[in-house]
Amino acid sequence: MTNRPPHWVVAIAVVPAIVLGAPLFALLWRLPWSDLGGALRSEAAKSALGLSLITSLSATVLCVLFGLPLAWLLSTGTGVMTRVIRALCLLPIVLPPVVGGVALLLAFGRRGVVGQWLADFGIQLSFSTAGVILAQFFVSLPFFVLSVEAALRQMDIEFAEVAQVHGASPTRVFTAVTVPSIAPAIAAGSVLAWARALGEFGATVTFAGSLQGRTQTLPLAVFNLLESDPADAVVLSAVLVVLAVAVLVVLRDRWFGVLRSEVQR
Amino acid sequence: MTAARVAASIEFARGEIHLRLDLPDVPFVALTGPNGAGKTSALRCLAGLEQAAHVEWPDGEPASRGYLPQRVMLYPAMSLADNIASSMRFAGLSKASIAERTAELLDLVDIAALARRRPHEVSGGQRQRTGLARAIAATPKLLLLDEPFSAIDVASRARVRARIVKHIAESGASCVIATHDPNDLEATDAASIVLS
Repeated sequence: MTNRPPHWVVAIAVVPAIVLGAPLFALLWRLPWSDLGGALRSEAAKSALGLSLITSLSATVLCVLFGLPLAWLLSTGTGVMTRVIRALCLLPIVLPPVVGGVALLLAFGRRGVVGQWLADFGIQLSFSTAGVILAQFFVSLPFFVLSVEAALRQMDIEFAEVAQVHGASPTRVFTAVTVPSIAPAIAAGSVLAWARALGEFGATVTFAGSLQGRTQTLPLAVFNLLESDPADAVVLSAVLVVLAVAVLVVLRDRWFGVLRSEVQR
Repeated sequence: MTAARVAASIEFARGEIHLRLDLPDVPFVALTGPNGAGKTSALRCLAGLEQAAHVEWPDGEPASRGYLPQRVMLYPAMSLADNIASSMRFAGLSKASIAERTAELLDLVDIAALARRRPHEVSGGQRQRTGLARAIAATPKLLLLDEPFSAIDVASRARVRARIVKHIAESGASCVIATHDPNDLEATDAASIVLS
C-alpha cells in the first residue's frame, strides 16, 4: 500500500503550485519570440546587461576575498563578540533592501559618516558604479559567509591538527588543507552570493540610483522599461529567469541532494 | 643510527587520572593498556595538541614530528600521493626531492597503483598505509603512531610493519606507538609502558 495523500491535500497543494508557476508561464507566454534580439540590442538593455555582469561578478569576488577570512573567524569564535559580528553579517538577509540602501547612504553617501571623509580624497561611492558593487556586496555577503561558515564548523578539527603537527603554520593549514576541503561550499556560496547580487534592486536604487550606463543594472532596467517599453522589459526579465534557472541547475546536487538523502533516511 | 633519541616526560590529568610517564632512551616506545587508559591522550600531548598538558623535553623539544592519528585523517581533497607529499611540503623540502621520495614511499607501503586516488575511494587499510607514509615522509625526529597497523589486512600486515619499522630505525627517529597488538611490541622490540 502506498502512503498517498488524500484528495483534499492535493486540492490545497495545487494552489501554491499555480501561484508560483503562473507568473513564470505568463512571462514565457508574453515573450516576443519573433523579436528577442531586437529587445536585447537596445542601448538600455545592452548597457544594463554589461553593467549587471561586471558589478555582480565584482561583488562576488569581494565576497570571496573578505568573506573567507570572516567565515574563518566566525567559525572558531564562541564569545560575545563573535555572536555580535555574526548577527551583523546576517542582518542584510532579513533587512528590507531599501533600508539597507538608506543605511549605506547615511554611511557612505556624500554627507555620510565615512563618505564625508572619502570625499576629501575625491572618492564618491553613492550614485556611482562602485556604489552599485558596494550595495550588492552588502546584501550578498551573508549568503557566502553562511554557506562557508557552516562548512568550516562541520569540518573535523583533526585534519588541521595533523597538518599542524607536521609543521604547517595556521595560514598554511587554512590554504593547503581547509580551503580545498570546503571548496564545494565556497563554490555554492559564491553562486548564491552572485545570484543575490544579480537580482539586487532596493539597496541599489536607493544608494546608487538608476543612471543608465553607470548604475542601472538589469533589475532596474526592467523596472524602467516597464513604463516605456513593456515588451523589452519582458525580454530582459526572461534573461534573469534563464540565469536563475542556471543557478538552480548548478546548485541542484547541493540542495536537491540534501532532499534526496532526507527521503532515503 | 647514532642520532640522539628524544626524551620526554608528560604530566596530564585525564578525568581523575593523573599520569606521569618518562620516555626511555630507545628507538621504539609502546604505550599499551586498556581502552580509555590515555594512550591517545599521551600521544596528543607529545604532538603538542593538548593545551592543558605539561610536557618536559630534557634534551630539547624535537624539531619535527610525524603523526598518524587513530582515524588516519587523510586530507579529503588530496590524492594519496599528495597526502604523502603534504608533510614534506610543510617541512619545506625541495620539489624534486618530494616527488622522488613520494614515489619511494608509495612503493614502501604497496599503494603505488592508487597514487592518484582520493582517500574516500580506497579502503581503510589503504588509507592507513598512506597515513603511515605521510607520517614518516619528512623524516621527523619524533614519530607518534596511534594503532598504526590495526586496519591493514592480516596477510600483509607483518610485511608492511617490518618495512616501516626498518625505515624508522634507519632514520634515527624516536617512535612512540599506541597499540593493543602484541605483535607490534615484538616487531618493534619496543620498551613498553603500560597505562592503566
